[in-house]
Amino acid sequence: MELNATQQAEFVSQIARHQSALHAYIISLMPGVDGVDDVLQETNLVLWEKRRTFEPGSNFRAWACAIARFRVMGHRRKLARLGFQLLDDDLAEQLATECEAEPEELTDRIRALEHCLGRLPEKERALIDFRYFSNSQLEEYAVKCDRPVESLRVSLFRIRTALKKCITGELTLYRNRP
Amino acid sequence: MNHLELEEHLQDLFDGRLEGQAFEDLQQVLRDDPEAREAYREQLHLQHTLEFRTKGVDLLNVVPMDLVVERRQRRSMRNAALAAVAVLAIGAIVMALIAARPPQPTLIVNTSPGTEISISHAPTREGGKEAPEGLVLEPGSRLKVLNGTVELEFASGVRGIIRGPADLTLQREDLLDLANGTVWFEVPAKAVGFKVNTPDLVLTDLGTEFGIISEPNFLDEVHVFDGKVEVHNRYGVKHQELLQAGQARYAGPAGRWKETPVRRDHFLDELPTKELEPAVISSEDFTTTQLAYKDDASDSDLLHGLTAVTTGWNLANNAHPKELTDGIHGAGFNQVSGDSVQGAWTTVGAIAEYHLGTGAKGLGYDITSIQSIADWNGAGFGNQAWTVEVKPVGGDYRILHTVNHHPLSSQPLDGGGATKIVLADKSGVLASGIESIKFTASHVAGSVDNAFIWRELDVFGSPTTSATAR
Repeated sequence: MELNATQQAEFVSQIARHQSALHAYIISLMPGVDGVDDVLQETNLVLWEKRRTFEPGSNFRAWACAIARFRVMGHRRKLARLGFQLLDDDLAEQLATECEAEPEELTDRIRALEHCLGRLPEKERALIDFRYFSNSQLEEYAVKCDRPVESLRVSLFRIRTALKKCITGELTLYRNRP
Repeated sequence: MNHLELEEHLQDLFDGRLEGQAFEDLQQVLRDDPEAREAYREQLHLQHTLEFRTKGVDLLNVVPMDLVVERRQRRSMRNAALAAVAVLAIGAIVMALIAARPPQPTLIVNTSPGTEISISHAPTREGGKEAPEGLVLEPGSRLKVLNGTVELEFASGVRGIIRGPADLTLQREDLLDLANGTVWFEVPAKAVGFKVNTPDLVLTDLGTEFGIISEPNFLDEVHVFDGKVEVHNRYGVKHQELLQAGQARYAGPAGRWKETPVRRDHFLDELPTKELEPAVISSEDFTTTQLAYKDDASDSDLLHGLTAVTTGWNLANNAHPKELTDGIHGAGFNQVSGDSVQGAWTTVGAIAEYHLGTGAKGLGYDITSIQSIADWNGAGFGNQAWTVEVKPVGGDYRILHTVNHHPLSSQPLDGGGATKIVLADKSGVLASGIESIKFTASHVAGSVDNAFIWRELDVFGSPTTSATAR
């Protein structure tokens, strides 16, 4: 039976609320592989198509992750046929625990990241923005800023290591109340 | 595999650059070593948050689909009609215009006297367009307003007035990233769908006039003066709401929208013709020594003895907003049995409102200065951020000043100390004819839940004697 307007709004809100967890879960099953956003969109579509089968009050996150996992496995099979080197299925499953995380926990991580990015010098921030915001290759950025691409990779390595340390500190801080 | 090699392999894996034997080596370590799996998850979370913060907005369409469909239908009908009668004529006119005019910049910037700005442009592709010259922005350009006021004129017809300090990046003709700033926008019907991203919200204009306040230590606010705006919270439950004219909301920390009075006086809708001078003089002190201002709390100010109307305070560990005006600074954590936190513990948006009365002459009070002390033993809880509003006798509240003072470290194991703010005015009177005064706590940078421990709040003044209120 079709959901009424209120139920539809609630369902869409659930999908929105779990976007971050689904995104993390999909990356964890296919690290370094293109197509994460496509798989997420496919998952969203399937969730919407199956909205009538979802039982209100049951665990939306577990249900959504099961659907995402199914879509990822299909994507992984395609990539394997094309000769891509992928994590073994068993290991990928062992590493993919992100569906256990509460959406608020992932939200804290994004907030912590924002704080930590704010502390980066402008040049380092620009490099991170380029790497994660633009669709261009690092080689292109190397030409623009007249730096060897390997030097940019070393910088990225250092910045990401520093960001992880900073985020860990921020998350500790969130738990430290008067 | 040592720690450094593991870190390099993990970053290469998530960059899609790990192959061959190195890939197999990493798999083996991940199978065998729980610490390596933990490192994998840390790298995963970084990769996810970096990607999600930039793409997350586009993953969900925030424009209502019925509106998109309606606009597409209207556009196709109009296009069909035009094509039937005038395609050749329009083509000729367009070609003539293109040949005669240089392309219009996507965004032109005008400044008021005394304004300081910097403009930087995204690196251009090889053989692509050169960076634009002058006060113009193209997609990828970043504008920082150090101080003063700036007018934005979009080619699309959108107009904006920004009060500095502000920092924004033009992503597309119809998409602006506002890192911080106070901005008023007017969006004509032809530019419906204009979108603004801030750290807390995604805002889609549906043909309207509205204002946004996005400050690093405050929750983002949206005020709609005309038309409709759709706002989408980026965090928590990511609540989405369609705001109408006369409505205002701020982004609640859990991802919901919270109601706040719509305020036109926050925003400018014209570029000032002369340099604006700040009316309120704010003296801001700090020290890393806790209890340093303990002798400064006053027990003879206008608030002493008044009971506040309060909402939104954290009452854990016996903290209470009544301690704001008791004239007692209070001791350190757990120093007094049964009263572990001797002060008021804020939440973002916590309010304390004091009714001073109309005074001896029935004209209210002249406020001459305001003193505020925050203090704690760590994690930046001694910082302070708040807004004070005053209400004249028989009038409405207006914002007097906003404080944003965060000199203490937010690290868990340090950051102890105190801050003190004193607000005054060159003329000697901050506000005249006042019958009520309201304080609203805001975001403190970095501290847990952006809260602070407010030790004392003193408002000094005397009954107004003449009716020439400011």
